[in-house]
Amino acid sequence: MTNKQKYNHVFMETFGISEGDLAELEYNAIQAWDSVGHMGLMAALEDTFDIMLDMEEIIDFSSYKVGIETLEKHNIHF
Amino acid sequence: MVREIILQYKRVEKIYQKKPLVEIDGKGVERVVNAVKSVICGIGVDLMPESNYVGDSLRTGYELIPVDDLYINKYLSARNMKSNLTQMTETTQLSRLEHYIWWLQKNKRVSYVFKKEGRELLFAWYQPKQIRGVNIVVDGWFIASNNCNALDALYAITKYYSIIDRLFSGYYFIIVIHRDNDFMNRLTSRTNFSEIDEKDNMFSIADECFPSANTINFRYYQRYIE
Repeated sequence: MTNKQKYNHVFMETFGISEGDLAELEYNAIQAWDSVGHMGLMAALEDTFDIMLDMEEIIDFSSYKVGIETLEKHNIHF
Repeated sequence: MVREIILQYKRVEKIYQKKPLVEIDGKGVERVVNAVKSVICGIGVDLMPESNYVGDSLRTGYELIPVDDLYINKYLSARNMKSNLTQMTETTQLSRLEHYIWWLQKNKRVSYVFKKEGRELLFAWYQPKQIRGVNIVVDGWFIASNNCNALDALYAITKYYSIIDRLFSGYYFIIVIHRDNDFMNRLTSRTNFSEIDEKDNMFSIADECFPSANTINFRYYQRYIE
C-alpha cells in the first residue's frame, strides 16, 4: 500500500466516507470530523505512519490537503 | 447582595462606569452610584485578584485578555450555556444573583478570555491553592460562544497550559474532565497529564480541589510542573 493509500484509508475508516469525498474535505465539513473525530484522526495517523504530531500540527490540521503537507514534514512522501 | 455591593463598592463602581449601550438621560447610572456611595462612604474594599500574566506571543488575530469585572455578565452567560453545563462539575444554571454574589465574594480565580478577531471564543481560569502543604494549581475553561470550534479551543488550551507552566513551577497541576468529553480526555495524554487513581495519595487532594466532581462522571488528572 502506498502512503497515499494509507492516508486515504485512515480518513475513510475514521469518518466512514468514500475516497471520492476526500479531496476537498475540511474540518467540520462533515459531522464525523468534529472535535472528537479530529483527535481520533490524529491518533490513527500517528499509529499508521509511526509518527508523533505536535500540538501546533494538530491545531493546523484543518483539511485533507493540509494533512498531506503536515505528513510530508515527517518525511512521509506522497 | 447589597452587603457585597457595599463591601466591594470600588469594583461595582467600575462596572457601572462602563458606558451603557443605550443612554436615556445619561444620569441613571450616576444616580445609582452616588446613592450607593453615600451609604458606604469610608468602608474598605478588596479588589479582584490581579492577573500575573507574563505575556505570550499569539497567532495573528488571537488575543488572550485578563478578565476583569466588566466581564461579569458575559462570564455568566457563557458559564450557563447548555454545552458548557454538561461538562461542568456544577451542572445547574446560576441565577444572576448567585453569580454576582459568587463573583464579588468568593471568586479567587484568575480568568482570561480568549478572543479571535475580536470575538470571544472561550473563558479559561486558574487558581493556585495549598492543600496539606502541597502546592496545587487548578484550572478550567468553557466556551464563550458556539463559534468556538475544537481547533480554536485546542489552540487556546495549549497556550493557556503553557502560561500556567511558566507561572507555577513546582506545583501540581490538577484538572477534572467529564468522562463524556472524549476530546479533552484524549488531549490529556498529549499534554502530559496522568490520570489519578482513587488509591493515589493525590486523589484526596484533587477531590478537595473539585468537591462537586465525582468519579462516576469525571476523570481526575495531574501533572507536576517542572
